[in-house]
Amino acid sequence: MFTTNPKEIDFTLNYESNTADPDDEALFDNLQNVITADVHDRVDAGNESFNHNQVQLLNGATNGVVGSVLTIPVGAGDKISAEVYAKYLAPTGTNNPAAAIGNLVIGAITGTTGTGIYEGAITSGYGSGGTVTSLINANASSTEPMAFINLLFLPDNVTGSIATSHFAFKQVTSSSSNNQAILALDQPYEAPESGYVVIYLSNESAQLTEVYFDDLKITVNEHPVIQTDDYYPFGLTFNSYQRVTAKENRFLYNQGTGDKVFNTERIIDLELNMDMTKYRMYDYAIGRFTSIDPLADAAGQEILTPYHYAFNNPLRYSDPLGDCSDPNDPDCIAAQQAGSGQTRSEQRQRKVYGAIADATEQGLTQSSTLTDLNDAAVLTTLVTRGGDAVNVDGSEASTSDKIFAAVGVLIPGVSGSAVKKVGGKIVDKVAQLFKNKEAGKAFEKQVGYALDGPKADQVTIEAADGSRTRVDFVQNNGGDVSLTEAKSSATAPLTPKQKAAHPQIEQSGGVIRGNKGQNIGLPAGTKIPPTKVNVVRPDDIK
Amino acid sequence: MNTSKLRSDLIDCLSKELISEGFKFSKAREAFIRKTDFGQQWYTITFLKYSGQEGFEVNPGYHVRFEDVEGFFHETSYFSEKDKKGTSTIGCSIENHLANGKDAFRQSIETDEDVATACAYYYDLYLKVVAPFFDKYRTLESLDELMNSDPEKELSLINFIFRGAKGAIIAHMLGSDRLSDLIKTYGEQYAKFSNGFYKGDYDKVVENIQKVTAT
Repeated sequence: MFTTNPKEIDFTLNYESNTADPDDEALFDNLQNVITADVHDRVDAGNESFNHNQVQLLNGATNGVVGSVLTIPVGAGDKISAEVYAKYLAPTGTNNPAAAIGNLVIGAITGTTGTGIYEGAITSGYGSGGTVTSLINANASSTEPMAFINLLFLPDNVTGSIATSHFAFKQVTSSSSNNQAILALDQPYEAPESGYVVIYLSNESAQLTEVYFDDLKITVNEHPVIQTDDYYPFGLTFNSYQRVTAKENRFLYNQGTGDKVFNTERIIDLELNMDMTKYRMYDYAIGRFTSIDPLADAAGQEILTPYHYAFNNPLRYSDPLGDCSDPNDPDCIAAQQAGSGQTRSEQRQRKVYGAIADATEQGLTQSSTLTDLNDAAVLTTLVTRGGDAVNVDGSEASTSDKIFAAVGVLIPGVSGSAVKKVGGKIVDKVAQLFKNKEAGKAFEKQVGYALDGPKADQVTIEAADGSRTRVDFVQNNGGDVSLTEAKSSATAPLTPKQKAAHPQIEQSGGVIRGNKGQNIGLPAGTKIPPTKVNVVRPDDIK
Repeated sequence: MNTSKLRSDLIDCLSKELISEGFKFSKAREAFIRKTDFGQQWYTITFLKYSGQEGFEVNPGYHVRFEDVEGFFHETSYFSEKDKKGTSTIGCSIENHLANGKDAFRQSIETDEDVATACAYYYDLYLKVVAPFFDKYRTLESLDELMNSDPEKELSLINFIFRGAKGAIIAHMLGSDRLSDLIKTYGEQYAKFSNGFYKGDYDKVVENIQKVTAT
């Protein structure tokens, strides 16, 4: 994983105690022998807000061998630059410097003083590797002091000796003789892998030589890579690296491609260590889902356990939804469309989510006609689907699909005033959807969709002579009762009961019977005035 | 699947959830009914069956019955003694109240799995919609606010056939200063609605109110 905004971070140390010139002193170790000596200070002319006068003195004697130390965690590819100002005077006597570099390095990393087993391990590592010591000794014959700015790279897991490629240094030059001159690594050091760099100053001169260091500056140019993971075929990771300052990406394995994509998240909380696909949890350590495949009945999987992942062939397949391993497999596609193996509630859940997505995408969803229940903070949202009367999976919608697509979704805590009605549009849309569609048993529902305003379905009305008929829809519009009977074709006849009752109701009214009328506030026993029963046929709602 | 079995399974399932709320199912009324100090609250489960449909469809509703109001109303109403017990003071299907009559809150039930889904759905609906409704309309004052604060406003919770009569009764019971104005306004409405078909019944209610007030 990359960042498009890699950072450049500076760490500075000016040795001054005056807080008017802040630096990163708190991050550095081994700040002994910091003295006030204005004559040796590096003068940063024009940038001083006060008199700079403090430096670090390393003379090569005890406690004067190793100076300031900074340890930084780095990632592979990070480039580290280091520079310091140094000034040395003429030698004043012989010296026998202690080989304490390893102690300081380990001490800086571990927070210890570098004694005990660490010291022995590093010391032997130097010797057996025959590298770092020989590098320093190679410059021992120079006329300049053995004073350096050093960089040591330590991988996350240190094993064996430290290679010369993990070490960089620069010895003071004659420019620093009685003069504060810049001392910098020849080029930025590029970390070969994740680990730590230790930057430190040192004076290991064979003669007692005072070296004054000032204004140390270390710059890290971070590499754009902030996280890497290698995978075993079934998703277990190894060689993982994450920059310590970066937010962890847990959307790793089994994200899918093409039309079948899901943000599968690796759940490591509570040591769960599973991938959460859309429908099932997947244990990447054992290469199995933890519950059965909702499409386990799909053809081609008969010989497989319903817990399998990607047909046991993760190099070729993935399964980000947890329901079907091969998005191109015809059997799998057919199974998805047919909802094979799923419970009806699961099928419906998928359909309603699809309907919501469809309708939202087409901007025609939300209809709320809240009246006096607004205070209850309940919002009812009607859901229908745009386009044609098909399911989200492309199959033709059945009547129950259409009903379900229109089922309200409750969203508690939302003010009704936030959403205004487009109910009429929905009715129009539904009427269009159903226009010229199947006649017969679904037509009654279609008529109901097309009617505007409150209604009661399947209300029984008793005529004056005692004959009863079930009217498909009863409404109240502006104080007038309306009765609607749906007939699914242009020629479908009225039933004998309808033939007997309709004229009487039109002539002298009737009485509501049964419980259906209460849905519109007309309880059993309510008289209705003389009213014509409107017989609606398919041509009437085109 | 046997439709009757599905219905009884759904009722049994919902009964288990609603019995702790004080409801008991009435088969005759197709409703879960809870008695209160003022009357009854009904959570209605209307079963609908369309021609050619497997199983059935459920359309839920809610009603509140204030015994005093209904008793006063039926002193002059044409309802039979049996039907008098089945009238609510306010109430309708939830879709009529909240969704302007569009099909909503309905569940189609064809299998045992549908029963389980619908049972969970309608109990959730009770908690989120029905219970707040019952909490809101449990006093005559709340009904007075609903019916009489704006007599011109059309309401889905009470049919126009009864709105004026029961609105006037409630205003009378509360001793409202607006009673005479309301009686006049509602009277004008009844004269227009359905060619005055319900005006005679309304006049009987008003006459009863005036008679009681006079005494």
